Amino acid sequence: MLFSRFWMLILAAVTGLSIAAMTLARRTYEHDRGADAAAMLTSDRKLLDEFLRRDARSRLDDLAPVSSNAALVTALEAATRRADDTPAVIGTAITQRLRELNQGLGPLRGEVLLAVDPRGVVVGRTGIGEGEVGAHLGGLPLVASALAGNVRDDLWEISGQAYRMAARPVISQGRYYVGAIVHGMALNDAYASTVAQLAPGASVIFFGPDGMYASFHPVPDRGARRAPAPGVMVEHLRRVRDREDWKSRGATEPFAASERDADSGVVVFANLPGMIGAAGGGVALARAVPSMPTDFLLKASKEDLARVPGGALAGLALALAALGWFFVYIEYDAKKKRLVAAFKGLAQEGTHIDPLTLGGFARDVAVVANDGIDEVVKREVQRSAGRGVRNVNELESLLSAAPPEPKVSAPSYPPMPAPPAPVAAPPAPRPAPPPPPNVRRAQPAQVDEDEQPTMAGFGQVFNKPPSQPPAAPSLSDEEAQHWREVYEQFLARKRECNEPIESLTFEKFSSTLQKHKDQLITKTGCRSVRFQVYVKEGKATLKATPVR
Amino acid sequence: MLRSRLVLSFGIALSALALGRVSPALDLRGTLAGADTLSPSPRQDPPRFRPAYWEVPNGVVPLATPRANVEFDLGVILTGPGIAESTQPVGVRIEGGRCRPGTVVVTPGTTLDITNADLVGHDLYAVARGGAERVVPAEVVSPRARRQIQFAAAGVYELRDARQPSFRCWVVAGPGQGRVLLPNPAGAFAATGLSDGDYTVKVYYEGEVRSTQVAEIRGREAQVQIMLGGAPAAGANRR
Repeated sequence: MLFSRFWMLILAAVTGLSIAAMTLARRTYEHDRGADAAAMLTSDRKLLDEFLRRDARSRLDDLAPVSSNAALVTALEAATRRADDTPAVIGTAITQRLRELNQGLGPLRGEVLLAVDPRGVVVGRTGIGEGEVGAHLGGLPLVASALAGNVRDDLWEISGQAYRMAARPVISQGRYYVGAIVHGMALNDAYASTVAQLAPGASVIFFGPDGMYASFHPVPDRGARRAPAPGVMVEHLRRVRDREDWKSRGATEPFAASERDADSGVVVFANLPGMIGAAGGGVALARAVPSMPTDFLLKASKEDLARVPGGALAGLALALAALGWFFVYIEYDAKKKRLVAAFKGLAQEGTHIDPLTLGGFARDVAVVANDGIDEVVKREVQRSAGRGVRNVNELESLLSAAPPEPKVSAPSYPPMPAPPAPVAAPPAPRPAPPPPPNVRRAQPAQVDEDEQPTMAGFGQVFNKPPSQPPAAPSLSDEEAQHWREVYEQFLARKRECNEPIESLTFEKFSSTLQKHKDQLITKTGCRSVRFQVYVKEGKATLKATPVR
Repeated sequence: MLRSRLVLSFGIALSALALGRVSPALDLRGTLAGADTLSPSPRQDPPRFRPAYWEVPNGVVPLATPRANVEFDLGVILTGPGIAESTQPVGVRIEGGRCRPGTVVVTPGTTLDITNADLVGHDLYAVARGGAERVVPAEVVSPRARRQIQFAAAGVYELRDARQPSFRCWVVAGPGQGRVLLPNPAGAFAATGLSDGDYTVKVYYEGEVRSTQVAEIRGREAQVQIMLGGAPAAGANRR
C-alpha cells in the first residue's frame, strides 16, 4: 500500500496546495492589482499632466493667427494711441473682430476671448462679459507676462468655473507690443470626459480651492469594479492639502480612496499650474482595485475557455487517475485476490495460510488470521478439557470434519495393543499412507493408548440374538478375506475371554462391520476401513482404521 | 438791439457763475516722472509653484523689462492742514491683479477697506515686510466683494494673495495717513478742496517713500513736479 498511500498523500497534498494556491493567487492577484492600480494612477497622473501641457501648447499655437490678425493689430494700434480710457468705438470694433476670430477657431473656440492694450486695459471682449471694456487686467500674471512678450497659459477661476487660459502678445510691425489677446476655454465635464479617455476606467475630477469644477465617472467594463466616485475624491480635498507629499511635491502618492474599505480603490491628487494651482486646485484620478471574481469561471468568455488546454488537462487527469488505479490494483486488488484464494484454499485443506505466499496487507491479514485461528483453537481446547480432550494434539480433530469421538472409527496408527498370544496372528493391518497436510485434521492421530476408540459393546451387539439375519454384504475378495480373518481373530479372542460366540455368525459380524465402515467412510471420506481385534478390559473388541 | 445785447450779456454772466460752482478750481496739480525707472523687486514664489505649463518668449520681439506702473504701483499721499482723509478709513482697490494704489498709508488701528474689482477672487493675507508670519490671516475676497482689515502695530506690511503669488501690495502703518491721489497713465494727479497752507506730497513705491514734495497753497493752484529715481529718497520716511 506504499504507493497507494503515497499516491493519496500526493493527491491530498496537490489538493491542499491547489486550494492554497488559489487562495494565495487570489490575494496575490488582488495585491498585485492594487499595486498595479497605484502604478497606473501614477502613470495616469503623469500622462494627464503631459496631455494638459500639450493641450496648452496647442491652444497657444492656434492662437497665433488670432494675435497676428492684421485687422486686430491695426485696431489695437489705434487703441494704444487713444486719448481716453473708455474706447467705446474702438472697443466695439475690436470686440466684433474678436468675435469673428473666435468663431474661426472651430473646436478651440473660447468661452472668452479678449484683447488688452499695453497697459492691461481690456479694449475688446467676446464671450463672457461680451463687449465690456475698460477693466484693467495688466496685473494678472498671464496678462502681464503676455504684455511683456511671453506666450503663456494659465488656469483661472471665473465665477466658480475653471478656464484654461492662453495669452499671446500682439506685435505691430514686428517691433512693438500693442497689447495682448487672452483666450479662455471652460474646464468642464466634457473636457474631463476627454481627459479621462487617456486613463480608461479611471475617475477624473478637476478641483479648485473651494470644490470641484468638473468630473468624469466612467462606467466599468463587464465584470470590472467601478472606479471611486468623484464625491469620494472630493471628500479628500481638505486632507490632501495637509499631506507632506502634496506640500513637497505638489502631488500625492496613490492612496486608498476609503480608509474603511481597502478595496474601494486608489486615488491620486496632483497640483495644477497657474492661479488655480496656486490656490490649491488640481486634478485627481481614481481607479478601482481589480479583484478576482469568485465566479470568474462563469464569466469566462468563449475565447478564454478556448485558450484553456482542455485536452491536455483531461489527459493529465486521466493519466493520474490511471496511475492511481494501477497503484490500487497492484497493492490492493491483486493482493486481495490472492488472499481470497488463500482463504478458499484454507476452507478446503490446511489449517493455516502461508503468509509467505502473500504480500502487502494480505500477508498481514494472513498472519492475523492464523493467530486468530490459533486463539480459537486454544480456547476450544481449554473449553473441551472437561469433555475428555486432554492433549492439544487432539485439538486437530476440532478442525476436522469428523467428531473427535467416533468410537466406531479407530485411529490407524496408534500403538496397537498387544494381540492375544494364542490366537493366530492376524495379518498386520496395512499401514495407512501418510496423511496429506490438508487432511490432517480428519485423522485423529496420536491418540493415547488408553483412549483408543473402540467398538465398545461390539460383543454385546454380536451376542444379541439377531431378529433377522442380515444379508451378507457384497465385498471384494481382499476385503472379504480381511473381514474373515478379523472374524476368526475376533472369535478367538472371545473364546479366550470366555465370551459366548454361538450366535456370532460371520454374516452378522460382516453386517456390523459394513455398518461401521459406511459410517466411517461417510464421516472421514476414507476409501476403506481396516479392522483390528484386541482385548480391552477382558473383552474382545475391534478397532477400525480408515484407509485413504 | 441793445436789449438783446443786455440779455445775452446777462446769460453769459449766469453761465459763468454756474460753471464756477460746479467745477471748482484745482488746488494742487502735480505730475510724476521717471516711474519707468522703478523696477519691481524680485518676488519669491512659493516652493513648487508652477505658474504655467508654458511661458516662453514670443520669438519675434525681445521681452519688455518689467517696470512700475504709474497708475497702480505708486502711492501718492497728500498730507497737510484740513485733510479729512487723515482720520478716515483708507480704501484700496484691486484691479487686474494689482492694488490701486500699490502702497497705502494708514494710521495703526485705522480700517483698510479693500475692494476686489477683479475678475477673479483673491485670497488675501498680510505679512510684515521681510517676514513670513501672517499677521492677517488669509481670507477669500470674491470679485466685487470687500474686506476690511486693521493693522494694530506700526510697520510696513505686505498684502499677498494665496492664489496669485505675483500679487503684492504694501501697507505702511504709521504716521502719514492722508489723501490718496491716483495718478493717471501719464502720471498726472490732482487734489481739490484744499485750504491755504503747506502740504506734503509723498510718493511711495513698494512700501517705501521714493519722493517727497512740499506744496504751498496761497489762494491759487499749486504745481508740483516729482521726479522718481531708482532708489528710495535720501532721508525719506522709510518704514
